[in-house]
Amino acid sequence: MKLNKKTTNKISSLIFLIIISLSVQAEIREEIYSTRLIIGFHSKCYQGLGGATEATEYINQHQLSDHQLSDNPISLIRPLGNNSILIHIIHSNQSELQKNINHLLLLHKVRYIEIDNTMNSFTR
Amino acid sequence: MKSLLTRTVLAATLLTPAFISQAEVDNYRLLLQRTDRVIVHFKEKPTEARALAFIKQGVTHGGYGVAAGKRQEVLEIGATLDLDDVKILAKGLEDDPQVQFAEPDLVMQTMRVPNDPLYNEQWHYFEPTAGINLPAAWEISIGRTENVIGVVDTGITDHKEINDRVLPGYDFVSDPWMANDGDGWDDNPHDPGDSLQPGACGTSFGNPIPANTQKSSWHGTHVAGTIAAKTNDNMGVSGVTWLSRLQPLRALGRCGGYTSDIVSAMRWAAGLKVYGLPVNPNPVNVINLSLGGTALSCPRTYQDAIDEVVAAGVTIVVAAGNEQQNVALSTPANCKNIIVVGAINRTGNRSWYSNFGSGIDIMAPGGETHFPGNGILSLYNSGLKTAKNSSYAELQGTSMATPHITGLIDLSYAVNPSLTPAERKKLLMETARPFASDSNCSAFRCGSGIADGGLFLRAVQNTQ
Repeated sequence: MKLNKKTTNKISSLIFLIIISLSVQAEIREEIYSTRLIIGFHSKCYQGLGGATEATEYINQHQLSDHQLSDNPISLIRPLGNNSILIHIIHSNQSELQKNINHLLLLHKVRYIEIDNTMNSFTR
Repeated sequence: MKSLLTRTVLAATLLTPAFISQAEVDNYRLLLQRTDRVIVHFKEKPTEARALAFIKQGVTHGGYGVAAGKRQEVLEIGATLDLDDVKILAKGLEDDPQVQFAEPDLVMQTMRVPNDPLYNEQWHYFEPTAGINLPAAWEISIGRTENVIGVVDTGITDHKEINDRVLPGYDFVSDPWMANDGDGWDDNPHDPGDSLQPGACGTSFGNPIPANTQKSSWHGTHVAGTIAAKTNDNMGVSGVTWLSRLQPLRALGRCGGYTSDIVSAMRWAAGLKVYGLPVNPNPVNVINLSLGGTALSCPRTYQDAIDEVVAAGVTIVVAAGNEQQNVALSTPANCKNIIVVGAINRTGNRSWYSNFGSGIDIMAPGGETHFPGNGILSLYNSGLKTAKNSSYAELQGTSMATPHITGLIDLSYAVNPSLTPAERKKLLMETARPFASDSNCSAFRCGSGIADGGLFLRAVQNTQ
């Protein structure tokens, strides 16, 4: 069976679109990660900020300026007590995240930053 | 020799009803401290005149002619008196030159043994080598209905052996996929199952986690059963505490649970404020954490929460971990202000999987299941994915060792509620049984010894 030129062009366009679409998806999967972080503040500083929402805002304002994914990559999940907050941060790779954490740890109001690691039960 | 002369008057096995009130327990304890009889041992067979002389001294001949050459008599006092008063009376009888000695006829009982048919398979409670000496502990306390024990775990399943003991808890698993119940936090701490397909939890160095299909663990139900399975009800297994209540705090789901959810569960359990929730109306005395992860040091998130919870008077008991490595690498076991529990097997040696090191405070039975009958027997569920019928199973792990200590700590709150968590830990460690000389455990690797419930509670009792 011989395809006419019009049909061949249509198929080529379709294949091109599929390839482009897949490559975009692949790219997105590779570049966006979301990590849960626990950020603890010094007691007086946390109270001075006014609470969890303000503390999150403070962290967003002090992001590394070269953060590529969003102007506000941090979102509050919930306050955790003990002058700490649980947040989501989006990042494109581990080194970017670590760089950002190191930068935020220099802020005088921040006491600690820890990744919200998962725990498991201890049955063998 | 003297003890041979002492007659056991009451109770072979104590036939305690299925539901015992605290008042009944107190009455029973009081009964043991009083008697209405004196045993008199004569140098020679007494004469009738001598018996009359005794009557004059305020005792009545009870007519209990005892064997052993008739040189021994049990005399009724005519009233039930405190043991101290009966000792004074007996001392007076010893003034008679014909009397070799006289002593109160003590009300005795056997070591308290529950009537649950599977109890004798729970070696971890009573065997002298590796058991936690619960029968002796139960002599002193079987818990208190006002006590609440928090179990931060996978939740709980419907089980006839625990349902009556469970207070309302909470589900703190915030990730809906991990929660496996369609949402994040909710007020239903029931365990919907945590079965997994290979690779469901990601990969490690290219290998899927888990490597194979994994059935639901029903971990929280098993842990809860060791602490508080309904006891002395002629059914199934026994639990460490017979009266205290259990509060399930679900923080583990599929692939585990987030640190943030675990600390929120701990704080709520202790009656502290947690964002978005009303304050727990049934704050706990003790929290069981049969869980953990790897960390080079204790995360501040954990230590802050632990310190706050302990300051509220709550004792935290944590599993050492199953990685056969130094416990310093396991968190929250590497935090301060907690009781860290390692696992021993039925021979009193460290279980092959148990973490070790100077960070361990005490050892308790975690078992080894490759020998049938050597695991820890507790409550379970027959479902492979979702919960089906209630059942029983033997498991092994420091997860299984930890609830033994949690249960003992609960009993100690029943004996003396005013001690601090640090004081309880000190007494628990001081009263531990030392390891045998041929054990693979030493104080440096396995803490102060194997927990001894009887000695521990006696020490707690002496603080009053």
